[in-house]
Amino acid sequence: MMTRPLASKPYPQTLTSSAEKQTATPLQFGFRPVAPAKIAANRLIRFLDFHELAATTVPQVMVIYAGIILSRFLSAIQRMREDPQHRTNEIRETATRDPLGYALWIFGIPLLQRVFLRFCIPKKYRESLTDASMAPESTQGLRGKLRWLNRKLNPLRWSIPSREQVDNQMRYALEKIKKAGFGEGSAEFQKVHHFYEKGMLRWRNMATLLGWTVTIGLLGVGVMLFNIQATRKRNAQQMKSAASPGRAPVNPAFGNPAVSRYLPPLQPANRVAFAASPARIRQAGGYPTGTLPGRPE
Amino acid sequence: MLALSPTTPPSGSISDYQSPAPMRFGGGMDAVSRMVGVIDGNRMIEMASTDFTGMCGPRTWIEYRERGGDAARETVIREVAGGICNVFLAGWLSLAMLGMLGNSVNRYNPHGLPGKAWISARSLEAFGGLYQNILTDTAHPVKDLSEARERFIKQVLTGLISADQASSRVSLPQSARELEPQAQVKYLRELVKDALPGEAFEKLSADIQADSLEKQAEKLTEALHQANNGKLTREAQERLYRYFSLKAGSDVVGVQGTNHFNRLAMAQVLEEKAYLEEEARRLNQPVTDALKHFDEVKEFKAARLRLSLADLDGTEREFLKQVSGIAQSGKLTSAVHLYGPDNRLLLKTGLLKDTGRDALFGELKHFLEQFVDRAGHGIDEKAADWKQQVLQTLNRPSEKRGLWSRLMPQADEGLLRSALKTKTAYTWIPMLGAALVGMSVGFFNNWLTKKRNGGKVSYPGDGPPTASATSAPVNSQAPNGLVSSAGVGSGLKRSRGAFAQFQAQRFGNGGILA
Repeated sequence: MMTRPLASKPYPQTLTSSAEKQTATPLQFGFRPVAPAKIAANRLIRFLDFHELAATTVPQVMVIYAGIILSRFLSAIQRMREDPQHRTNEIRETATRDPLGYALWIFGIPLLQRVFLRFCIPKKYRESLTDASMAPESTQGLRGKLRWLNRKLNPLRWSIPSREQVDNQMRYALEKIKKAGFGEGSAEFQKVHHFYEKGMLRWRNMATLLGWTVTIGLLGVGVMLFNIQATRKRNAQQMKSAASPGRAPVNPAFGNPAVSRYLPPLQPANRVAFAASPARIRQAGGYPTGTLPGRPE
Repeated sequence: MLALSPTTPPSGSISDYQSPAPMRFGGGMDAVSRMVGVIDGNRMIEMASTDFTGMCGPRTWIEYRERGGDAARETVIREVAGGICNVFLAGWLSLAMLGMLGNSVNRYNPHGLPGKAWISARSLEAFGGLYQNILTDTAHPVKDLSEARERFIKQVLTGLISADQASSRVSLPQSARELEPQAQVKYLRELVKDALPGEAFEKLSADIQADSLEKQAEKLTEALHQANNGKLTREAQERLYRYFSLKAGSDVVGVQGTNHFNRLAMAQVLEEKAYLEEEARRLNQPVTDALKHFDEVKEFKAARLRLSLADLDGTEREFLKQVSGIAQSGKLTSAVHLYGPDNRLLLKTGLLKDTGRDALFGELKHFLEQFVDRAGHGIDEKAADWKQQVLQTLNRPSEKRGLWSRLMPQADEGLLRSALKTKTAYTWIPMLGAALVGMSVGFFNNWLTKKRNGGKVSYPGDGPPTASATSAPVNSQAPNGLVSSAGVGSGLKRSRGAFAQFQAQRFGNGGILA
């Protein structure tokens, strides 16, 4: 009994002599020729495609995170609409925390690395650690000039070699010094090694460490403490306004469930606070319990 | 036109590249360097580490200390889910799609292209354009398929330039400056030898022979600065060409060639057919059902796909290791730019290891196997329109109309076109999935907090309810009335966070919350 070949075939196999001859198969799809167009991927796909298997790219993260931040605003608005007290701190906190987080998370490390390498390291290493790329760009016309200006002023356009590239340069240099007749023990080999390892590589590492630590600190602690402090301050202010008889409250809805029921639900509450004129409140049906506490009327 | 001399197939073993032993650097910087290497080596690891150590950990802790359990729970759900959806989920979803659709010939993969043999859209575009240009070149028409293949590989290899060429142009002479003059000259000569073509180097060394050592070093540095163009050295180009043009049954130890799938797949198909005929003969029937439905084209696609997948899992890693080693010692650092024949920038790879030079070589291998070789299968090069046939196989538009056939790859369509359509699906579906999951987290948080508070809606970050806050002294109470009900305990109330203490000092007895 023969075994079925395809199912039992492991890879790779040697060819049998009968299999060596090839038959032409109708694998050419087109029998009616059509003029081939130039291959061009969609511009969006070119930007958003995976560069390697199953690893999300930074442009993808930028799009997904923007969507997530939008949803956080929407959910804060939903909560504000359902909350009878109409307290508005969540929207304000989201508006501080998330866009700042977005900017820091995506641009923080590259930006800090570049600024550090450009301004804070010895001149000997500075030149080879900034402006690593020589991709030609035309400076013709207004757009070219603007592009040139952007390249000079925008830190994200300052190209720096990655750590991997510095490492590659070092390996190449060491290969060559060995070829020149100075083996691994020699002082010359050590000098070249030190130039790269104790110089360039170390400064490059420092740049990453600095960027990483500062970004984490700002993201984790800085933004949060700023938010909490702002919320407390604002709460205190509103309390004070509500308590003092001589001043109008910052937010007439604050702490007054009866009022909030009559305010248009789709309007964000802080807008309501600024826009709450007596006329509008009257239009909305007026105050059910007489005057607003604290209002001089 | 091309700088390379025609290369004969290798006779001896060319698998002579030994990858160097990992270097060891002494001192405490070693550990730091290794850690930075992990963070710097992959942008996703960098982002994940920033997210989980920056956004998840400290934020949850601060919210817990300052605002209590509800706020902390919301924060940890929001940040962890955000991190996973941003950094990992799209990749996971694409893997799941690959597992379902990319490993067999099916409706969504009609040509049986292995999804795992990944080629990014830009590379596909660049390589496809280059190969098409070579086939349609009327100034220097190619004679046959193997010439087209050779020219394509050499075009890519000569067009590669290190992305950090300006950096190494400065750093290599700078590293030479550390040495004594004699050693400096020797070292620089080695560097210049790589950068200049043979005869030019001979001429230069004859010119500077009479000069003093300092003068020699100066001239060599100048020559290095001029000639260091970041390209692969000639020697490395030739060795790499030999790697990419290997035929089946090559003499490279442990490395399978790149041009063998057609032959092996055809052999499998013929063997299967012979088996079916044998079966029919055994059953005394002129033709069995199995033989009647035996589709040679489909079986060929399936066999090719199976072989490709096995190669991806097996020998490809060794191949790429060798290739990247040769490129490394041929002065091509880990990120590259690809230029076309007219010095037009076609492609910039990522800066990092996984997306840079090595990934590009993998993509080149996949392109050769899955597009160049495959489009050439069964082509009669003596026919007048063989180039037209190859182009049709690569880039024929589908005859079907309608939205669905515009979005999804079709069987009657060219390979490149079909692959680009697949790419569209593989990009959008995982991204939309990840975005949707991420976008539902905020609403889930709202629902959970509401449920835990017995249907009462509130934002836990807002501090104590208004009514009690006016009467109660704040510093002796947790910031949120819900804290004690969430079971956080009294320890929290006694030890307030540093920020709260700062607040108390600044505003006096916590009056700010009153």
